[in-house]
Amino acid sequence: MNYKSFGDRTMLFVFYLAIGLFAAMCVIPMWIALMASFTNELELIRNGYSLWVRSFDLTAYQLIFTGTTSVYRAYGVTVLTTIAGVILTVFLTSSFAYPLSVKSLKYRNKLTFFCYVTMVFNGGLVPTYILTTRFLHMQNSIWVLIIPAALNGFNVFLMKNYFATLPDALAESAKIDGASEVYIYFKIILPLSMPILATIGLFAAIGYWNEWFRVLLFISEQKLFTLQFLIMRLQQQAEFLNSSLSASARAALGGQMVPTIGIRVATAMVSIGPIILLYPFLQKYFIKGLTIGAVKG
Amino acid sequence: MQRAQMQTSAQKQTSAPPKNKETFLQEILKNRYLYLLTLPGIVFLIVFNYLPMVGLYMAFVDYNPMKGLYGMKSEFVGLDNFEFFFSSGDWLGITFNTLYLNSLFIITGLAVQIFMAVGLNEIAGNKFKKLAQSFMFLPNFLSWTVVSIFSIAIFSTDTGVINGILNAMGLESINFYQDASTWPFILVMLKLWKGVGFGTVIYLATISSMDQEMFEAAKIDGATRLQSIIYLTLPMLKTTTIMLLILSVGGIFYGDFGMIFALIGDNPLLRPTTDVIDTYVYRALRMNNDIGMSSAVGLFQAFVGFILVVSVNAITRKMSKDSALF
Repeated sequence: MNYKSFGDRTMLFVFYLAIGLFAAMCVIPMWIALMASFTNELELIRNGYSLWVRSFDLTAYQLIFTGTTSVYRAYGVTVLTTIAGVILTVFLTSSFAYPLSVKSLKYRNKLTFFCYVTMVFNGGLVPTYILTTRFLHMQNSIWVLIIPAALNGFNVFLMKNYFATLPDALAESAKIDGASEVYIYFKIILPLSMPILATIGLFAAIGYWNEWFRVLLFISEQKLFTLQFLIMRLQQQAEFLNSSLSASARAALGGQMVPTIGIRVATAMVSIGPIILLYPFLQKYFIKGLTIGAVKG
Repeated sequence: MQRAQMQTSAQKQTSAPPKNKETFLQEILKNRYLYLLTLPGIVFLIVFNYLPMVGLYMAFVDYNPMKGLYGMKSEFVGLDNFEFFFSSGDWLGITFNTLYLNSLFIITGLAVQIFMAVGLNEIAGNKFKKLAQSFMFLPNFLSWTVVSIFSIAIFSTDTGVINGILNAMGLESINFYQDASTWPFILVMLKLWKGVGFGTVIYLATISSMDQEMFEAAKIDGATRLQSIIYLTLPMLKTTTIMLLILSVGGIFYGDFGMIFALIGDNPLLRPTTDVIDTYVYRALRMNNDIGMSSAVGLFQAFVGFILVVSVNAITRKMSKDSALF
């Protein structure tokens, strides 16, 4: 682009400045927390959070990895629910969305409407709570963290719209060659739909990885806590992990105070590790999903 | 809803009304594998979406779990639960907070997203742009619980960064976690922080799909970049903006429970400005165990929310068929 006038150059400068500042602000809090997780607890309490490590200390990480099993346990639950949840989401969403995109299917509009209703009206918290605890008896079960989140109308419509962009001729010519609907779906449609399957899968992965609301509602046993819920407990009850520290970990602290702030930030850092690692994929497929949705979502 | 249930049970038991029997059966048999594919989804939606709708009936009873499934045989009390809620005086406060906070989120989000998208478009194709976009997109993937750990680092009274800076300048600390009046501002900032990168994507996609020849022509005619933004880019963003605005208005009656509960928890000091319908319902359900009233509030919310979404979508459809959500 050609920037000639003084006004244009000023404008460009303002854009650079604003965008640069905003982008920096987006990562600075994470940086501050990361530094805090490596900082000595007393130093943190005395001088507060800062942009660099003033007194290096790994006690917090030592404690969450070797002093207690809570974090490992929560990590395990989170990984398990995320993997199972993503598989279930992709399976349920694609198998429900594909028939809705087949134009020759007589009842597809009725089924679409059936799905649409769930997007504009829902029973809300109280009936869902009672259904889950009194009728399905899913409280304190790992399934409550996996199943109820697996299908939602938004994903169905996103996927249906993608399937609808695939040329009809593909399925038709396969049909003429004698392929069954099942063959067409699994061998022709699904392999062509990897981008949308990946997008929905990653949407779901982030949702499952960050899940804590269902734990708050339905789980009271600590062995089923997810990472995010553990972090929330640590934030709202600072002494939450102290009781679960092993005797040897206490002895190693040697009468020093338990670094509650440090444990809190370190656990948060550990929980976002995989997100940072997968970030290039996440960014790519989320943008793809968003722009598919923008075309008709 | 009834029709949908009838339809699915008909699919399973093939007991359609006699008039349609042949064609209905033929259709199901002809496409049996396709219908079979939809079956898990249908069952899922019935159990997790339609059954709770039936449960909204609880708003009209004096709930007693011992009386039948769902407590469906509890004593019918008509509108008593609603009367209790609307006469408590709480409803005005939480409805106001919900609408006020959401309006702030929508308006600020819109303005900042458009600004960033236009700006990013001007900074064409260099490393700065890519890096900035990656940074801006990142907070979207963090959960509100992690954000709350960050917000303690920023806003805490004794150890927070902001108060550290204030103190260094010789100013007094602000007790953010005890001062309700600061929270609408903090929530707006955090919402922008988390959502702008994501929201910018759609505007950026719209801008880059615009007819570039028009900009070329404007340039030849001597227009500055600023002029082509004001007279070309922004007017052409109007449709997208209105669509996104209308869509977010559809959800204006639903508070962001995840955000508010993770950041604030159940801090009564901050309730005057941050208590929204969703946090109120949660408290009524889990802390006061008031099933009747909390389901009445839930129904009130679902009903108004439903009217908003449907009317908003009707407007969108009228404006442009392609932009309607459904």
